[in-house]
Amino acid sequence: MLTAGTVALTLFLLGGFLLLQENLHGLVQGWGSAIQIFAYVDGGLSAADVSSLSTRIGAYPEVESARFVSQTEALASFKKSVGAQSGILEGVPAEALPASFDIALKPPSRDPASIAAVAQRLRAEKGVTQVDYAAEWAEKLDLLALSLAAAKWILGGFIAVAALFIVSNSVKLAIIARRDEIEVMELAGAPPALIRVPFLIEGMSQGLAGAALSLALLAAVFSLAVSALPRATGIAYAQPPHFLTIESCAVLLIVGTAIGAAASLFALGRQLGR
Amino acid sequence: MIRLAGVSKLYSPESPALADVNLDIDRGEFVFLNGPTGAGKTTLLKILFGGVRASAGDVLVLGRDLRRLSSRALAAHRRALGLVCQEFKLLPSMTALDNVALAAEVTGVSARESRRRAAALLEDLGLGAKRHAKPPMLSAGERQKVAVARALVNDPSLILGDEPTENLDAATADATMSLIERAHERGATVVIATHDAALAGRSGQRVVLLEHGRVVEPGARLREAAL
Ligand SMILES: Nc1ncnc2c1ncn2[C@@H]1O[C@H](COP(=O)(O)OP(=O)(O)OP(=O)(O)O)[C@@H](O)[C@H]1O
Ligand SMILES: [Mg+2]
Repeated sequence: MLTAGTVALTLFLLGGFLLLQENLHGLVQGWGSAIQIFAYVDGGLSAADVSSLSTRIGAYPEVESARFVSQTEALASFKKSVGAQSGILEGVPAEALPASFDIALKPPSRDPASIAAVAQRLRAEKGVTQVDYAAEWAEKLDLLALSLAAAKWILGGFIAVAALFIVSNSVKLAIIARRDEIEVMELAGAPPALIRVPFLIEGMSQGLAGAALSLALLAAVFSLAVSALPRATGIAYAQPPHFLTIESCAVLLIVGTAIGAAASLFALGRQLGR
Repeated sequence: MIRLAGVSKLYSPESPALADVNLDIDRGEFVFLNGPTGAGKTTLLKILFGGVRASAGDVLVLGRDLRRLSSRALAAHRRALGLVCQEFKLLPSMTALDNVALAAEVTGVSARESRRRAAALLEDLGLGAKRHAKPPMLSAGERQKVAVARALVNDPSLILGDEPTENLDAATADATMSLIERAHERGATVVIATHDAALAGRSGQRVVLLEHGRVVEPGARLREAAL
């Protein structure tokens, strides 16, 4: 039971990271819709220049929408955001704030690399004076995704070694408990496989049981978290998180069984190897 | 059948358990390995069934070179043997019948057929009524018979016995030996280790005398010589 438990813990962590990874894209896309690129344009552009620039930007494959905000609109929305104190802005000329394009990217392109690439191309456009975007935020998300991937392997690796050790120890105890029986079978000429296979199966079923247990735990934690998270953070999901795909579940079950098999083989080699 | 040439076994470097043993045993022979305690009888038998490996020399048994044998080939070798160990090696949690049947089952015989053979052998040995008893409930002599039955259950072509009558009263020892003799009459080669010179000399079989790990008297095939 302890044995299946450690395998379960191992795969629970591994599965948890997989679950985060699989959903991170969705979460980033949701939160990332807040990511906009602001391309400030020269105040001297003619209406024709603005409209041809708008067409060109709208034609970027990554761009979902490009809304032109004129100097007047910029000042108006600034006044609105300042609110009650807007009186102090009386007499400020309409040219005080630059006109801009507020650009939103399509979901698949809401990653730091694409954002930077789009910004780069915008800077090269004639009439664009400056390009701004929330670079840090995008890079942080990217870093988060990277560290999730790394943590999955590092932590998962450590705990997999621990699980391997514990399963092989339990198989070792099972072998020792049946030492006499094994000796008698060996003396009678039982084929090595006949002696080993039951222990291999025992280790594998412990691994499989652990994997199944971890999936059940994951599913429980997942369904709790999915309903609790929006209430806790106030952020709504752009697309609701989904549980692990069938393939990922299968991978976890296979990894669990493989840990059990490897641990048994290790114990058998140590105990019965000649 | 059995050919040992220049065989030695060193458990520790100082004193060899066997030193330069040369021994030939033909198919169908009945041989006693005799000698005082510590002479190397058990060690010699272990070399014959692959329980230990010789440190030097050639070991040929049933056409197999026992010095280089994979674990699978070693298992196949043992399936051709009938082994009676000095300490019976019966499983205390299994009935007498299951102990005997196990040896047949591991060679690939079906469970039903294994039990049928085991029951017939135990019946032969006068243990039919005790076949469902577990070894701790049996007397030493009864346990000895179960161990002999197990050695015979696969109809082996080579029987190796290590003190198979030690601690038995004369009548039980005789009964046990005559079982082994019956297998010998059906064609099996037999090698019995014993420190009991009287047992070895009993029926005029070939006696190989070991002392301090050396063959001091290879023994004549007395029965053939008498013919
Ligand atoms: N596993 C072992 N490790 C070290 N030395 C051993 C081992 N087995 C046997 N010996 C030594 O090898 C020598 C021969 O032992 P062996 O058991 O072959 O004697 P034996 O002739 O069978 O004696 P007995 O009549 O008492 O059964 C002895 O000196 C013994 O101490
Ligand atoms: Mg001995």
